[in-house]
Amino acid sequence: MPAEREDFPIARVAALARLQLSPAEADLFRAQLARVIAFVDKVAAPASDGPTPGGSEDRAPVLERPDAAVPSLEAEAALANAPDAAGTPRLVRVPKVIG
Amino acid sequence: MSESPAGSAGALRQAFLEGATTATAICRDVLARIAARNPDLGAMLAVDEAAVLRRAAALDGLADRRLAGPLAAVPVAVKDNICTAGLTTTAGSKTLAGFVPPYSATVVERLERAGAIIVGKTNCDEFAMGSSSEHSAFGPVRNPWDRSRTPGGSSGGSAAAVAAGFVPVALGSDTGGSVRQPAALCGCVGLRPTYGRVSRHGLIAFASSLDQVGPLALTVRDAAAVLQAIAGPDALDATTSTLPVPDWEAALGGDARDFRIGFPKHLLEHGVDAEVARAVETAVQVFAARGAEVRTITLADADLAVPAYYLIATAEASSNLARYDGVRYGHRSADAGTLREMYEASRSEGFGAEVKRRIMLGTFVLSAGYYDHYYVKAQAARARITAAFMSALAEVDLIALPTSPTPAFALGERLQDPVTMYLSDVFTVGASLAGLPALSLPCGLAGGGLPVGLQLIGRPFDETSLLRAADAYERETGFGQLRASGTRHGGRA
Repeated sequence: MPAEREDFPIARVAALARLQLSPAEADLFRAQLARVIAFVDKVAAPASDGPTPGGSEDRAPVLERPDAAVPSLEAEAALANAPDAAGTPRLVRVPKVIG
Repeated sequence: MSESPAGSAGALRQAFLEGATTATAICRDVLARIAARNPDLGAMLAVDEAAVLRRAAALDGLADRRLAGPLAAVPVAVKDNICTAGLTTTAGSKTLAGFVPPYSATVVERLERAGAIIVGKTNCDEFAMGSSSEHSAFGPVRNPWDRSRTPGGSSGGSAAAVAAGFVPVALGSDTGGSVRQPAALCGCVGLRPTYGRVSRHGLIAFASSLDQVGPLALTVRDAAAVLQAIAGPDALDATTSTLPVPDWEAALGGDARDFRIGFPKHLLEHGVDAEVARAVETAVQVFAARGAEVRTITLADADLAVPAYYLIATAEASSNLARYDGVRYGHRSADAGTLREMYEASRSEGFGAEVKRRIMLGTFVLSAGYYDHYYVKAQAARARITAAFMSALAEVDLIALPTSPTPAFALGERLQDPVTMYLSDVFTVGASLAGLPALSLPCGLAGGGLPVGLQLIGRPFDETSLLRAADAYERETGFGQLRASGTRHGGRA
């Protein structure tokens, strides 16, 4: 189903993307993204034939490693950039989820 | 105090090994140049002078300098989307302002193991999303050749740092052309390795099926030396290949006659600046005059590359950037009552306009009702584009194209028109989608004295041919000696 080019569903998409937009931002992005969608729409033209996406037969060998536990970052280091960390072991504090 | 010599990474290393200079002298020169010119260019975001000089002193203190490694005392700047332990890494985003990684990227560890000195972090489009380095939360980068113009992007800070003579080499990342295009617009060499050649561990993810780390340098030989240091398998990146890493520097020094070069001239007929087209056609003629076999070829489905790229890259970005929720790291809004409000407010305050646009485009093309129409079709187009490249590369060793359809454009010129900005990548996204190695090198100057880049694209894991052909061309033409006016490369600041 192609997008309605003049009516990019900005409110629905912003909600899915966890973004809040001001009315001015919503208007600007709606117009810009409608233009972008019109531009990229040429890929949707049906191809009569062609290779299958995602074929892996020609891929170069990649590195595999044993599925074994190895040392990793200490909690202290991993949470050093957390906006609101507390406790031992260190936890991150977030707004209350359950009443 | 001994003086830092002029020139390339190789020259600096040699002078250090011979005792003609010290790592400390080299770094003091670098720091002085950055202090003098960076406020004007905006190329560097973070420089830890004390750490740089400590590292230099450690190298100077070695009993045997030959043990320092193949990049001994070579100053390197690193794009700010590549993690550096203890040094801020923001990816040009407000959401990561002040973020200090707890570990370094594999490429950074490998550079340091090779004796290099990381002098600082370079400015870039936010999360590497852009073609002009104007989409940084910390201000735009200016092109050292003409400060009213962009350096290209997204690795514009790295390209400007090299072009301005801050450092002889830098690291960038290339998702759809973000090493090659700024290299072209700043008169540098820029190399995108084959997908899987270089580890992305510690590279902040944008589009994981496309992202690669690559060098920007003054010369092809320096680019080869940096690639040599960072390439090879890494247990921390399962996409890295176990194929052997050749000795690229040893392969250089030959001539151009060994190569069959395909030239898809039909792609230059529309939308390409006349002077860019002329410079690239002249470059192809230089190869032919020096004994290379040049064939005119056709690349099918090339018109689908930019649309397919922007559908696939944004889809992957919308997933990768879901992690920025204000919980474990990154910006958290102070104005949120519920968890959902915290997510939304944090992301909305932390991301800039281009990142929001791409997240929403990617979210849209993956959403119910549109996935089959856009994302699945884009993957089919990607397969066709890859097949077209591989078919061409069965007949020739390298494909020659412009890197960018225009020389450096004016700051602000394309900011309000995303489609025009996306078309800046028309010649670079194809190799990205196909996972092929590609290199940009200077091939002359357009009117106004702005550099033009020639792009060479090779077979998977055949960086050797790219580097050998580029090295031969660079020595033949002398375009590797082009420098932005007002810059110094080495010497006392």
